[in-house]
Amino acid sequence: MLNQFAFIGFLLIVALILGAATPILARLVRPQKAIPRKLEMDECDMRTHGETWVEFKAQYYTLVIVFLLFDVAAVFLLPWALAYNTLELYTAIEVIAFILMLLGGLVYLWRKGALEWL
Amino acid sequence: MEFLKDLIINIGQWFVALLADAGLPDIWVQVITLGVGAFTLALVPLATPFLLILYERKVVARIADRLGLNNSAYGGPYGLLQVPDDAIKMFTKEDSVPATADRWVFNSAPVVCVTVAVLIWGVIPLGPGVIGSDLSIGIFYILSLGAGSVVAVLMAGWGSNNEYSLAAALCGVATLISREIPLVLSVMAVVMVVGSFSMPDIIAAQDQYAWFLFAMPWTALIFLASILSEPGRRPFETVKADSEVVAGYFTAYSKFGMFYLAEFMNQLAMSILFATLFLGGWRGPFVEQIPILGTVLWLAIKTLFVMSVIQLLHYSLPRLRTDQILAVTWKFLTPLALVNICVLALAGKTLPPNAGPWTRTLAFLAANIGMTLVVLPILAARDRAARRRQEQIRRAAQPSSRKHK
Repeated sequence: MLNQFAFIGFLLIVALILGAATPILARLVRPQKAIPRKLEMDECDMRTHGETWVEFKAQYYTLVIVFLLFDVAAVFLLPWALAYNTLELYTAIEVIAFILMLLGGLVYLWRKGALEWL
Repeated sequence: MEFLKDLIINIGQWFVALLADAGLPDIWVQVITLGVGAFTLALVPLATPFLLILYERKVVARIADRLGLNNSAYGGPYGLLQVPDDAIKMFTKEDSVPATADRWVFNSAPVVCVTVAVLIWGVIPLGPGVIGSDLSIGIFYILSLGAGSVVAVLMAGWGSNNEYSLAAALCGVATLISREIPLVLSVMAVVMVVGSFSMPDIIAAQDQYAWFLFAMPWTALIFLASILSEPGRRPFETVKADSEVVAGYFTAYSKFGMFYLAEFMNQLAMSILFATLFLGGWRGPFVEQIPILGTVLWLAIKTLFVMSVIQLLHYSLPRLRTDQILAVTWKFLTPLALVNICVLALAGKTLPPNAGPWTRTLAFLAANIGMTLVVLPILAARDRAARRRQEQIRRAAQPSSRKHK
């Protein structure tokens, strides 16, 4: 098993090197004629206004909280799913009760408007 | 012929024997083997997009019914020169980093993007015994890599110091994280039936049962819907809005080649993942006699089929707005995936414990058909209600608009 994880480690290193090599090699052959106007920040000649790195309102921040809740629920459910074949019927019913509670929560959030784009 | 039977494994064993004969200590043999293996595997996802870009551009030219690489006038013989041409152009193009951008974050975002796309390939079985590493947590590892692409999108958007990029990156992050719950839940249904996270086990289980596409069609549908946003395929395409001038989170990049490559690698990886989870992976006729067929024939055909489906969806559907995508994932796919798990769990456990795989497959299929009979009327009723509401709004608006005239 350690060998298997070592392979993933090697793959990570190789992927990082290959990913970084392309831009670095490209730097050797590409032209470099930077003029100030070229380095300005714009999109289709529309310059940006003011600071970008400010507090930015993500309209879906309630959804992110819901996402965190469901991710934790998924972490609870995955070990059960892994052992499902060896478990008795009552564990399945217990998990179904848990999932129904989750669904109830989702319906409540839906009614409250937490799933909307604010 | 004996050598051809297990080509890839034989080459690997020959390489290990070569190193051992050279008198290297065991630990070095292992390190070199792992390194060379990782390098070879990493080259596969980096090289195959060059063929697949050609394929996709031929497909899109035919779907859009326009002159393109389907015509012999473009791209040299069979359009073969087009992709190398693009690659050389991308490579030699001037690359200007905006003066106000965060250089480190800006430059490392595409590298992270490509790295994550390569890492997925580490656990995908490419043939009998041909797999980067048979992790016991294989599919869980792939799910966890999904977080990496979210980070890459956010790095590109935030590092650019550009309002357009940041806004697009936040939309992209919204899409990417909300598809994660249906993705995890649909994979959970597969894990539940198989009883293992390991990818070869999932393929072996499909030999016992039917292909999971036929045993649990709803799971396959939820999975397909949630893998579309990762490579930015329509209808879930807000990660990058190709049809508009603004190129999404990589607006500020003068060279988008790396993101383009990563996108293709992701599309390929997601197709191959679908083929592995729901279409039986490299399994097919004659694989026992000639294992290499599994890689070059069955897996390739299945992957290409899934990829063609994704491309047909991409080129024939309009793009949804971000809030519409969130509505689809949170109000349709997530509840559906939760119900799907409940239904499958009940169907699997109500059978007698000595039931064979085929009985279980039929039970899962019956559960899926039952789900369809419940879900479709609910969807139809909601659709009718929405239409009625729109009709009312239209009627209410008509007299007032006449007054204004």
